[in-house]
Amino acid sequence: MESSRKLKNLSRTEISEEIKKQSLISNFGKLYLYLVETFGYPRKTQKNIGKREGQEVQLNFMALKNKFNPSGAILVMLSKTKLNLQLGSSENAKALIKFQMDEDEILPTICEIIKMKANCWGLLKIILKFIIPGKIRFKGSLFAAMRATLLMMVGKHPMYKKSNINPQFIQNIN
Amino acid sequence: MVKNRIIPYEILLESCKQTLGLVEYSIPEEELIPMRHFMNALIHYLEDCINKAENGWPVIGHHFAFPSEIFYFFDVVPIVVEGVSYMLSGLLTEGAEPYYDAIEFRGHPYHTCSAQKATLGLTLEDYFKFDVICTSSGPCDNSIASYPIFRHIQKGQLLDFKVIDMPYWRDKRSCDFFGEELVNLRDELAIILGQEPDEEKFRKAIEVENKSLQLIKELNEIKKAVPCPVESMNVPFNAASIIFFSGRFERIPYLEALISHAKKNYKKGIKPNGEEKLRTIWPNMTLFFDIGYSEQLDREKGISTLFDIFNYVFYDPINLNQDINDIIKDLSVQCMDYPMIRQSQSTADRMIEDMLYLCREYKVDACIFTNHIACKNLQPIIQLLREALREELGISLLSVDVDVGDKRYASKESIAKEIDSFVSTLY
Repeated sequence: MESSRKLKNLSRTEISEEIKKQSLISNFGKLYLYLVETFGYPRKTQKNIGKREGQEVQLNFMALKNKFNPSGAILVMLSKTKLNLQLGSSENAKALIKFQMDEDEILPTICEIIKMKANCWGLLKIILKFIIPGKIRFKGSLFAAMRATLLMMVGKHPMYKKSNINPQFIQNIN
Repeated sequence: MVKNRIIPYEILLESCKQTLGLVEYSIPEEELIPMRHFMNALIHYLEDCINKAENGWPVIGHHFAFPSEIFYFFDVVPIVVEGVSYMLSGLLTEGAEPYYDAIEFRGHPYHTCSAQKATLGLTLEDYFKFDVICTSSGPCDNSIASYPIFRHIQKGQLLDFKVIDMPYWRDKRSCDFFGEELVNLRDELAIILGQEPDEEKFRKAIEVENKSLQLIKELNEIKKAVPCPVESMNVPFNAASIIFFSGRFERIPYLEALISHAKKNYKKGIKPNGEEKLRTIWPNMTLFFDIGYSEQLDREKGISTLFDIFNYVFYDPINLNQDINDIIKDLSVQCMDYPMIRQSQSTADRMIEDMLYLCREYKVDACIFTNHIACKNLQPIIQLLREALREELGISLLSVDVDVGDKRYASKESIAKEIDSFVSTLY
């Protein structure tokens, strides 16, 4: 089997670590899709994909590199109707977004981005908070990267007006 | 001693922590209530199982409809074969597909149940190291045919493989026979595991299960309210809680939280996600490869999902003031009425009567039957059920061909298209 070959000569503990990293990337992809489909309201952001339709944007989680996925990558295929995600890297990716932070900083960073509003002010916040300090880096088409990021930002959803986010970061994490 | 014997539970734990973290930290408190509480409960359960397995407790793989309370006689880690497959499907981008492919590559038929296929694939890849596998001869031919494969694919020794015989009939003779099978299993496990059965722990597990049962019934009563005060998302999570938490306390806080939230909504007379346009029951399963789908139907189209096959229970709590063997016999009666076992391993009447009862009681407008590729035993019932619902209650039923754990068989988009067309005929 393919995975058996990749994991040859590793102990069970090492295998477990490798596969856990891969599952974190994979789980992030699922949550990204879930968020866009459930809260991507109004779907304006998705409709605005326009000529970016079909383009691939690669997200690289540098801290989650593993034997299954040496670049820690997940691909977002931009679409107005059906957003598609796939594990692994691509040579055709129009843009690359690199998450350069440590493993335990990834989740808080993504949560911050999710809560932002999908507009120019939101993008400016990302630049100030994450790009200038070097936590996130872009490569390739800036507009394609922007589209993929904007999809994740659901801060405009009316639910944010109604109630608050639990201020305490739950104890179960890490 | 071999370490990391249940790697898929470790994968699930990491994924659940990340999911919960993301929901807690980025979504307001009043949203996605079932997901928050279920993830909390599941994290606790998974951590407990992983710790015990690391401490050398024997690992027992079992069917979801197997009365796992029986394992609480011993210090063991019960692993729900079907739960692993479908939680991976729900939480990962590529779902459990690499593991379906792994076992199919080995020659396992593609049309068997994805519920077992992923765990078979994971075992083939050496991610699971079971000590014992236990199943019953139900609820369907698929599971009966799939389970023995564990004996051939596991790397390393499997101490034993146990199948207890579950009769087709649901009379006293059958229940007595199945009860005897469970008593024998307990005695055989004691020998295989080299442990003395601990009656107190078993009684405690039954007590916890009784309490859960009351809460499930209470939640189901609340769902009778129009509009339904419970988020549709509770359906796949309740199904998972029934599968994972048999005899475990984790289900109690989860259900209590759902009930408390539902009561608040009921008092205010509101439905959590906007207007309710249509009340539906899914007589088979909901989509496990997309646990958010029922929520999206609810939010976007006002379609409430009240139940799937796992969400309603037709059995009563067990009387604990009796001899231990009598408790086991009562457990066997309960087990023969477990969700899916009740409808799948018997005549078609039960499924039809149950659906008619639920549709009448819960003021249902339509049914959506997920014709799961592996549920061949339920496929002949669809037309009978459709006719019964139409003739007796004037309710329409849509049948959608799917594999509930594999999005490659029928994509969410194609399923959504069928549901949209169906719903447009109802208004």
